[in-house]
Amino acid sequence: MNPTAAAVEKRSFGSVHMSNYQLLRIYFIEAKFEFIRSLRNPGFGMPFLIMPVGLFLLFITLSPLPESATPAQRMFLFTGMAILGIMGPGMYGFGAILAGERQYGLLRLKQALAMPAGAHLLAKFCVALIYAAVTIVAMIVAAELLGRISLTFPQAVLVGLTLLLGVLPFCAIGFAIGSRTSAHLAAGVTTVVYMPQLYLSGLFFPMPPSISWLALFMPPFYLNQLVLAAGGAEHMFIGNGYVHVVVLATFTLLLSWSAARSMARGS
Amino acid sequence: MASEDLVEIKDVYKSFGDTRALDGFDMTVRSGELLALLGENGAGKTTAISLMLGLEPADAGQIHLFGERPGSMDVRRRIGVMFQDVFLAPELLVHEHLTIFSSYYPNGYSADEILEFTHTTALRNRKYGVLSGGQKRQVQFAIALCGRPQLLFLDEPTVGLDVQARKDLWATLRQLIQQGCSILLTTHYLEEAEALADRIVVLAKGRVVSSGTVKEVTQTISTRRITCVSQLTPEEVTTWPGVSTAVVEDGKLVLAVAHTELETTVRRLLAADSTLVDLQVSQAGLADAFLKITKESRQ
Repeated sequence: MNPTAAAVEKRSFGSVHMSNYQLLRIYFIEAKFEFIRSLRNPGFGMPFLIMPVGLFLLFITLSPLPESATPAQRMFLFTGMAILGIMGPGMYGFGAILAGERQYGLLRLKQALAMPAGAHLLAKFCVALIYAAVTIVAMIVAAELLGRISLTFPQAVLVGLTLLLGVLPFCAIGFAIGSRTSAHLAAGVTTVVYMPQLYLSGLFFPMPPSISWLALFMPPFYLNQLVLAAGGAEHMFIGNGYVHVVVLATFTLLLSWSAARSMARGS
Repeated sequence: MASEDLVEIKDVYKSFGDTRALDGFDMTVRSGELLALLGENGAGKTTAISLMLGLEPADAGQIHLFGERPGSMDVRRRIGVMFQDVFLAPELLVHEHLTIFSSYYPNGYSADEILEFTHTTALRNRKYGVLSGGQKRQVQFAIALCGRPQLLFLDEPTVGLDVQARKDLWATLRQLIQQGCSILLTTHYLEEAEALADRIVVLAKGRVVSSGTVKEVTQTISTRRITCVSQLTPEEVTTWPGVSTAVVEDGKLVLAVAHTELETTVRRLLAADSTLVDLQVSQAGLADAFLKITKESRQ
C-alpha cells in the first residue's frame, strides 16, 4: 500500500467540533471557487466584467459631451452604464445558476452534508460584489481619465460605495428567480425582468410622461437617483434620500425573505 | 438506544398528499455494517433516506442518528451522502470540487488523499463537465467520503460504472467497513446487495416486508431455484402451482419454486419437455427472494 493510502487507513473518526477558523475557511473556499467558476463560464465571467466598461467607452466615443455640459449631463450616462454593469452579475449569478443548482440537487446535497447555512448563497453574493467592484472602479477611472465626469475623491468613494451596496436589490431579484423557476426558464425569466428595468427606470433617457410613474416600481430608479446625488449631480428624490434607501432595503429584504422561504419549502 | 445502532427509526409515517410513502417504517443501522435497503420503484426508499438526512420532516414516528435528530450539524459532520444524480459545477476541476466538500468537515481528507483512496487520481485535473457519466459517479462517490464519514448513505452508487470501476468501488466499500464505517446502500443490482450487505431490508408500500442477513431473507421464502435448458416458455410454467417466478436468463429457463412443490415441478418439467437438459436445483438467491417478497406485498 502506498503512503497516502496508509495514511487514510490509519485515521480514525475524530471530533465533529470545528474552530471558527475552519468555519470561516468554508465560506472563503465557497466564495473562491464560485468566483473561479464564474470566470471560467464563457457566458458569465468576461461578458460581465468587460461589457459594461466596453459599452461605456463606446458611448463616450460616439457621443462626446460639449464643454458646457452640466454635472448632471456628465453623470447621466455614467450612472446608467454603471447600474447596468452591477445588475447583471447579481441577477444572473443568482437567477439562472442558482435555479440549476436547486433543480438538479446540488443544494440538496450540500444541505444533507455539512455545509453551513447560507455559505453557498453568501459565496454568490461575494462574487456579485467582486464583479460590481471591478466594474465600478474601472468605470470611474475610465470616466475620470476621459474627462467624462469630474468627481472629487470623497465623491468618487461615495459614488462607488453607493453603487456597491446597490448590488443587493439585484441579488435579491436573482435570488427570487433562482428559488422559484426551473433551470430551463431561469435565464429567460431573468432577461425578461432585467431588460424592462433598464428602460422603465429611466436610466438612459427620460421616460415619456405618460408612463414615467412606472419608474416608481423599478429599483434601478431609486439607486440611480442616489448615485447621482452622491456624485453631486442633479437628481430627483421621492421625499428624500432616506426614502430611497428604505425602499431599496425593504425591497431587498422582502424579496430575499420570500425566496428563502420558497427554497426552504422546496428542500 | 443500543450503543451500536447509529440509526434508529421507529414507526415512521410520511405522506405526500394522498400518497403514503412510509407507513409505519422501522429500521436500524448498526455500527460497522453494510445495510442494503431494497425495494421496487416507489417503495419509499428515497423518502426514507430524505427523512434520515433531515431533508424532510416525518409526519409521525421517531428518527435518530447517533442519538440526535436528523439534519443537526453534529450529525451532518459524521455522514457522507451520494445521491442518484446531482449537478456539480461543470467548470470546476475534480480536485477543486473535493476541496470544497472536504472543507465542510473538521477532519476531512485532502483532495489527493480521497482521490487515491477511491482510485480516481487520474481524474484530478479534469473539468467535471467533460467527464463521462460513470466518471461523474466516481467523483460523487469520492465527495461522499470527503468527511471521513462514520455513516455513509449511497443511493444507487454503481449505476453507469464500468466493470473495473464497480469492482474498485466495491473494494473501497469493503475497506470502509473494515475501518468501522457503516453504510446504508440502496441498489437495484441485487447481486451487489448479495455480495456486499451484512443485512438486507426489503421495503414495499412504505413498510418493511422482510429483513435479515442475505441467508435469512432467502431462507424465509422456502424457495428453490430450478435452472434448465428447455423449449418451455416462462408464460407456460409461471401458472403452475408453486412457481412464483419464471424468467429466461442467458438462454436458460429459471424458475423460483416453493420448497414443497419442488419435486412435483421437476417431474412436470421433464414430462412437458422431453428435450429438457442441464437441469439444476439450488437454494434461491436474493433476486428470487426479492421478487417473491415484493410480489406477495403487491397482492
